[in-house]
Amino acid sequence: MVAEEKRIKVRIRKNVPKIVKAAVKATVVCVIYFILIQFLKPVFTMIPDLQQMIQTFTIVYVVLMIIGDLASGTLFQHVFNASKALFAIVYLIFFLNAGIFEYTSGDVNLIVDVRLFLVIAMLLWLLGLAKSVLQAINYVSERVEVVLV
Amino acid sequence: MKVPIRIIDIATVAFWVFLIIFSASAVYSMKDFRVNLGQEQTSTTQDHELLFSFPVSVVNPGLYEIADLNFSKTILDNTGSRIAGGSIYIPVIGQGQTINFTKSVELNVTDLLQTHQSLLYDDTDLITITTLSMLVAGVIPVQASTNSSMQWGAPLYNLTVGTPQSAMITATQSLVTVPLSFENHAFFNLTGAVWLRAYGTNDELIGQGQTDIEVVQNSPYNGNLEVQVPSGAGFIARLEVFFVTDFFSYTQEIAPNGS
Repeated sequence: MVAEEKRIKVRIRKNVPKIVKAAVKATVVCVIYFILIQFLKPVFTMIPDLQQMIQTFTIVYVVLMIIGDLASGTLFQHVFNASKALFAIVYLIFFLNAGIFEYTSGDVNLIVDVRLFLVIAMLLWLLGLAKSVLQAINYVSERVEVVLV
Repeated sequence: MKVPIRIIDIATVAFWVFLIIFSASAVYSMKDFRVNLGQEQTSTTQDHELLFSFPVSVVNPGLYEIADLNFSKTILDNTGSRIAGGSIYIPVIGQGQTINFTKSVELNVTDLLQTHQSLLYDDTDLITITTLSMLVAGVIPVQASTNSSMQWGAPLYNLTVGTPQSAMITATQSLVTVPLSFENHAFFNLTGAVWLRAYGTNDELIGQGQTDIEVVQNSPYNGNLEVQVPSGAGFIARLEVFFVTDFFSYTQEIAPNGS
């Protein structure tokens, strides 16, 4: 009974920092999101779908980030980090219309080509994906070493 | 393994910070960017071409320079086919710089009326397409285009050629008179001559008469065209009204009975 209580206490002590870390990171991302929203308000009047796109992206990203942080110290942390990077890549490709924004108001037609930014962002996400894969390999190899020792 | 992972981590964060700051500052930079399109002006050249002038003012108060600015103007007829156009290229507009320029589009009326004869006698709205393309901050291509309409006034609006009247003036000569009326709605004054030509049954020219015209913008013309033909020339097969002006030439055939 005492041993069981001790184990629960240890587990809570182990998980509290993870929860705090996840909460702090989520709060920081949300603050950045709200600052960005204020900053981009004039752009949203021109491209109303953009706000919805950023909102959906942020929600999914924050959820994956929280789950990844809660699963830290396990292989799942790296799986969720990799899935976060993959989600970002797929989302950027499909929902940013391949990097070309077109806006029409009355007789005025505006086309903004952000393909270069899209490519750079995708490369950075790929870098994040590579990092997650390396971290997963590192994690598994360390576990194997521990078992062997 | 941990060192490469840490290096990838640092590099990723550094690139993300750079990308976000650059994107945000580029968007912020374009906040006050303005392009003012002035009222178009119409004039004529010494070569008797119509000249449409479009004054443009580009104001770049942003943080980055604007590169490869291309301003183009295309004039289309009411069916959407291209009549005239042109573009102007400005390599760089520095930060805080304002550039004023005028894009002129020349329109050869003779060529235009050969392909678009209805513009001679029908007032219509021409479509002008203004396109502005540029590189914001040297890397973001932006293109804006707008449509507007421009009124075209026909030089021979409501052209009416009346029924020819023939009268003997001497024993050997007859005078054929044809009433002519139209309104000049064009951007230019109509100066030139109108010829009335009479052709016989073998399509030979049997007489021609010239009437000088000078019709200022937005004013009507009412007059008679006259041609003397020999009485013995026989039957007049057809008559031809031939306009020769500074801007165009135009021929209209009429039957001797006016149909």
